Amino acid sequence: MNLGNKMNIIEIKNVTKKFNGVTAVDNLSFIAESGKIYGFLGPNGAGKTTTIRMIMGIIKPDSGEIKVFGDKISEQNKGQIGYIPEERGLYKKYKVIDLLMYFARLKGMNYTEASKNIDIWLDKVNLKDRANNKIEELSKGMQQNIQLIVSLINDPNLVILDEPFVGLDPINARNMKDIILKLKESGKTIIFSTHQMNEAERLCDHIFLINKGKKLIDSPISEVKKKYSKNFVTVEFKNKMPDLKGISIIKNLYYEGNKVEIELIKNADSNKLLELLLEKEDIKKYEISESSLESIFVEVVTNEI
Amino acid sequence: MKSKTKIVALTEFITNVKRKEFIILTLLLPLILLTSMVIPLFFMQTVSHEKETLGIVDETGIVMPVLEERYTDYLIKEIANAEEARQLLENNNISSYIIIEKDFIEKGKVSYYSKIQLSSFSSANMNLERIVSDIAIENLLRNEGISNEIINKVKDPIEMERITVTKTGDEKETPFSFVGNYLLPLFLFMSIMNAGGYLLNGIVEEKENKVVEVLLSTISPSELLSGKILGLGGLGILQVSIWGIGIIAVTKILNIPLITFEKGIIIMIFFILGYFFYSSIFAMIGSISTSTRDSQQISAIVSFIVFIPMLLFFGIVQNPNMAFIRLLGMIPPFTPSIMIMRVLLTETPISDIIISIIILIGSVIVAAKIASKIFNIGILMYGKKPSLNEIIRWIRG
Repeated sequence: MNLGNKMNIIEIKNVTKKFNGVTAVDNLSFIAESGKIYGFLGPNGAGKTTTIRMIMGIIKPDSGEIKVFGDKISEQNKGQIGYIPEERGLYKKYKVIDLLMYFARLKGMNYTEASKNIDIWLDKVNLKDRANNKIEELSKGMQQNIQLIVSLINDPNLVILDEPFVGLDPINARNMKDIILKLKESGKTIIFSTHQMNEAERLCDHIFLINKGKKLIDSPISEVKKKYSKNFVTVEFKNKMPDLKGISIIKNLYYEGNKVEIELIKNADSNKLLELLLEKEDIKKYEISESSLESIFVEVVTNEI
Repeated sequence: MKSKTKIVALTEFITNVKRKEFIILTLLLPLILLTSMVIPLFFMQTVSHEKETLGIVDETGIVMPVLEERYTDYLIKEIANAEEARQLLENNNISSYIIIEKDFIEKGKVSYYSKIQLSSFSSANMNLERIVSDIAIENLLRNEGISNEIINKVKDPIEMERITVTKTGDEKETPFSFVGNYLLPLFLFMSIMNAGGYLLNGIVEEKENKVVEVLLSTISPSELLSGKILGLGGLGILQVSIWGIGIIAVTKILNIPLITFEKGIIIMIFFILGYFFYSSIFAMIGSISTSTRDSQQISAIVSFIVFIPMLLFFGIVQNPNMAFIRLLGMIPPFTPSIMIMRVLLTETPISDIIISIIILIGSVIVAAKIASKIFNIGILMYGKKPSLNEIIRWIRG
């Protein structure tokens, strides 16, 4: 297997999938190259999970072609993808070690290789002393780690995570981020779906945005921002947030805690805005910024609708 | 066998063989067999020693002395007349009474009074009737001047020995043949239902805790399903083998004839095919169920259908080659149990056995195909139970 740079890890060509006459994925095409982090974005029901399940070979497309590592998905190369589904689950009654061994063996590892890797991984996530505990005896965060080991046990070159940040507390979310970045460092290709734009913005090299099964954006994140860049200002007020309605040069407002992201109308002067705002409240921070992925997401998706 | 199927099969086997319920069932069932044979004997013994009082209103004066001598099931108490006896019964001083009228031999009738329904079916009651009959016989024949030797012969003319003619020769029937013949099919079906139940729960559990998606990212649904069915089938065979060894040991020790080797093989064929058939059904139920409670309700109905033929046991004993029974033996849900009972109880025509096996193999193939289609789609459906139309579409698709 040639995993040199620029190899196409995933190739999706004109894939369509319908359920009971409803089109979930509509003539979708994209390519994922090795060594990058891809953000797979879209609102709920956009067709993200369906697409991921088709890449994994769990369900078959009605038409179109999907290639993974240059080949059609098969029982042989299925094990080469590390997969964390949106619906996470483990056998509650199994011992940690038995569960990991079962999945390692299913992924085609032999016993000695598997036990070596299980040891290394349990050590890595500080769960070595829990090897003989039942899954149900572990905390949620620990189970999350076990789930991660299940999908990474055989050192797969492609890792697909469906909504990895859903249901994680801030500490576990940070761990997840670290793991994703480490995987990238070691040359893996990562695809994760999410609708948490701030995570996607911080992690991704490339964005696929789909809605209603159709692709809307497929570009590197820098280009996305350039293309959709607008006149944006981020403001943090010293005390309370004043009422910003009624300022004529403001087009849109995106509140985030005590900060507000302000979209100006075309050709508006941001210095003029600063003057107007200072009349209302003291300002702690005033930043002229690129538009956030979140605002791009909202705009692209709503325009589509 | 594909290697992934083997891994699933082995894992299913090992995890379930360690389950407490499995160990308990495997060890407990033979114990139930033993107690079910011993308890009736125990009851017969204790009931006869129960010291309750039987009142006797003896107008003849000849019955009471004989009963005092021969009747041991109850304490007996002579009572002057019927009214007093009734009073004593109502006050619970006695548990029953018998009225022997002066001309009871001519009339050929005595009356027995008790507060308990069906008490006349007890062995104590039958003994009482026999002793009073004996008194009548003795009196009638002695009056004719017949010798005591002949009188005794008349009282107990013959004893019938029941022998079953089988290929290996004549076999004397024992209480064990009855219990064994009835319980063996029941055991085999307990084992099938048990393994099928594990399959069902396993599938529903994987659906409920969403493990299935992780599994399906490494293995195809049909590999997963066949691995499960084979692993749990191994579990059933292990269980039946343990029981089989136990039965062989007990029969060897007690010197009770065992079924022939050929019969054993035919029964095992029906057992294994029956397991595959029912496990396919359980797989279907698991795939369309959304919760454990759901699946248990449906599987209860299936178990009921499976055990219906067991109710026909006595019919099969009386007339094993009856057209209705033969027909039932060729209808798939009933084939395994009916045929196991027929083979066990009689010499079943070989043509019937072959036809049933062919029909069963055909049904297993069809059931497995349908099960795998439903499984492929149903296993990824969470939360929503599919309608019948949807299921039919899955099968067609």
